[in-house]
Amino acid sequence: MRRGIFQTIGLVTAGTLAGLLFNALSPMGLPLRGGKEVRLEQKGLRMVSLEEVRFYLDQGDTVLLDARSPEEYELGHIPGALNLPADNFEPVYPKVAPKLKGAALIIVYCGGGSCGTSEEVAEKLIERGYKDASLAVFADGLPGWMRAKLPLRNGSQE
Amino acid sequence: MKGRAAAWLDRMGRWALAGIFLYAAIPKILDPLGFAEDIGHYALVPDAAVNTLAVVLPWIEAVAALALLTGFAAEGALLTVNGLLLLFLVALGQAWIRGLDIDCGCFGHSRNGASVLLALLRDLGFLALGLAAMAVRMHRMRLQSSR
Repeated sequence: MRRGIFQTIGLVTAGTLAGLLFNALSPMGLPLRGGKEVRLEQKGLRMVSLEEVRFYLDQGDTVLLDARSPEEYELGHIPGALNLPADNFEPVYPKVAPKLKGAALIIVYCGGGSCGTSEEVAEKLIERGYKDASLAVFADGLPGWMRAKLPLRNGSQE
Repeated sequence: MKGRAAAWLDRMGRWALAGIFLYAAIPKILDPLGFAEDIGHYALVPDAAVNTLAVVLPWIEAVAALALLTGFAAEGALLTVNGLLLLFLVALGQAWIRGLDIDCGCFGHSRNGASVLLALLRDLGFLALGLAAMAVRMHRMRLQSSR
């Protein structure tokens, strides 16, 4: 048993060193420091804070997209946000697309923290030809908005 | 169980686990960014540690798989894969309890991956295989030492 434990330590150490070495040499290597913001940057997306969301919304030429399901959207969303669910992107996109035209900035959000659907929607928009500079992800999402006790709107998308 | 049967079962168990772990490790090694996103969605480790984990974890899986395949440090490799499977079980279990609708990231980054519950059940199956392989290995070692 003791031999097995020593071998485990050796294998984990070897794997760790191999991973770090490969990461340092690989063009796909990740920066080891930095979190979600760095990962979004690598995909050509930027992350915006609650203050930035509020600032850009005040400018008037920003469109806010809610990437959650229609049911979640109906229960409560950021006022003015359009629903473009990641799981149902293709059928909904043509309805939302005219409203995205001319927007200086499109900010996508979802359920915050563990959700990745806002990134998915942003990536799909890049595939549709939207420039990364005009796209941002509000990573704190709806929970971040609610924590600040900002108003919500409910009801489905017209 | 006789010596020859134990040796055959030991080899089959190790090779099956090696195949699973190599199949899981390679896509994650080739797409560390996607795997980092998947880890981040579990909201289980501090965000600052996610990238390092995404870089290191698939290589630990790959090294353990190679050890299982070759038989070099096999006991340690079996302990490592069973430890990893337990770790994944905890991560998937907490995601299921919290109702997270995420891609498990088990076999690389995929937007259409298995549901958390399905991944949890699959992981339980792999853990049963891992524990059985370890039991066979220990039995085989006992047989060898008694000769």
